[in-house]
Amino acid sequence: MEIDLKKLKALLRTLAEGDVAEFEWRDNDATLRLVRGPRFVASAVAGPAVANHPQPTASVASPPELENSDAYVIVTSPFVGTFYRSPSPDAPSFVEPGSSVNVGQTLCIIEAMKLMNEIEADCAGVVKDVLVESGKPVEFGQPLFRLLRS
Amino acid sequence: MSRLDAARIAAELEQLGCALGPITVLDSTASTNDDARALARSGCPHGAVVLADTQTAGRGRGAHRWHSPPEAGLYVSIVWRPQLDPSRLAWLALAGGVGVARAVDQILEQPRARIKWPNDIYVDDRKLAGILVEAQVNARSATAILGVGLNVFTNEFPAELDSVATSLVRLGARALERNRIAARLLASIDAACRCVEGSLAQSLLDELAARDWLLGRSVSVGDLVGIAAGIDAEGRLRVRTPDGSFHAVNSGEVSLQVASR
Repeated sequence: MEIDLKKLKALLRTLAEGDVAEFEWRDNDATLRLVRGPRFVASAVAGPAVANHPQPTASVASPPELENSDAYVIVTSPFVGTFYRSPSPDAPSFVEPGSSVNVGQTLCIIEAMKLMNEIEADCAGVVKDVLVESGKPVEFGQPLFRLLRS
Repeated sequence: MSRLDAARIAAELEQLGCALGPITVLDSTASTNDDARALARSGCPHGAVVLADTQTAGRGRGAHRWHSPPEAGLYVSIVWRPQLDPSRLAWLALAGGVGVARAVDQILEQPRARIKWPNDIYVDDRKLAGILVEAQVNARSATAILGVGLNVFTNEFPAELDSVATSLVRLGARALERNRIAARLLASIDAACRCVEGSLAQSLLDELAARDWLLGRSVSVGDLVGIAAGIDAEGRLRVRTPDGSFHAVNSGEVSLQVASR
């Protein structure tokens, strides 16, 4: 079965808009099953069952593998917007590579229409890679951080 | 000049049929947004409100500060626990601007408030109010703190603001009573933000178009330079660049290129 990414994205959007948690489709030679995670998705761990990870456009580091594993968590952007590593230009970054983070700790801000979204860590761990440069635009689902789960 | 009074604001809100509250009034605070966030973290309900007579560290985007002298303005933050997909959270920032603009029109008794995308409120080409929405998003929930700074009695601004800022008093508003203004402001923001959760986004877009202060002006945002060309169906600013192409801007600070008009 060939997957048309465009159609798949449209389908995922439709399911999200309708807040549909599960969707299954079959024909003679294929079955497609999609399971959405919790309603508010800030990391790909809880993301759609069929994950789509575009490569970061402005990567500070380029890890070879951007998939989630038991050990690593990829934090992705829940919005289109501008990525900021600190609350204001003269303030220190929320986290640096090597920083230990707790559940609920702010990792970054994604700004869209002057709405400052603080993205919080969903698991405790250590920041291994910061994947986007501060001040750069990010897309929905774009990987932002790689965390080593603790 | 009346003091802010939580009971009076609550009574005015009830008359307006607005269910926001509970209301907390502080004499002085660093930032009402920070206080509202602390309330949210302690589990306060949707719609809790914090007002202050003065802010010592009122802020806007990034490193920007909001001039917040004692008893001269209204500094208000609302805790919003939206029933929204996170991808639609940014609509709250647009709706907040529409809500403030409607309240300003009521107070001035004339349709004068324009919106500099996404949500700065201008009257007569000077900034009257600013909005900052700060949201915390995780896998379980989203909380948005919607903060507004509105210049009410400010007659003298610091030199760097004097030619670009204004206040309700400077604009000739009569019968200014801060508790009543606060209630009108809150009820109007509440009504506009509830449109986002319903299916009334189109009415917000129509109003953004009608109040669009940037339309036709030369602007820059990030590396993009061009002419502001309206707001698109996603609430983004459209910019036409010199080569004739259109770009949709979703974030970043919009600056005027030259003093046009």
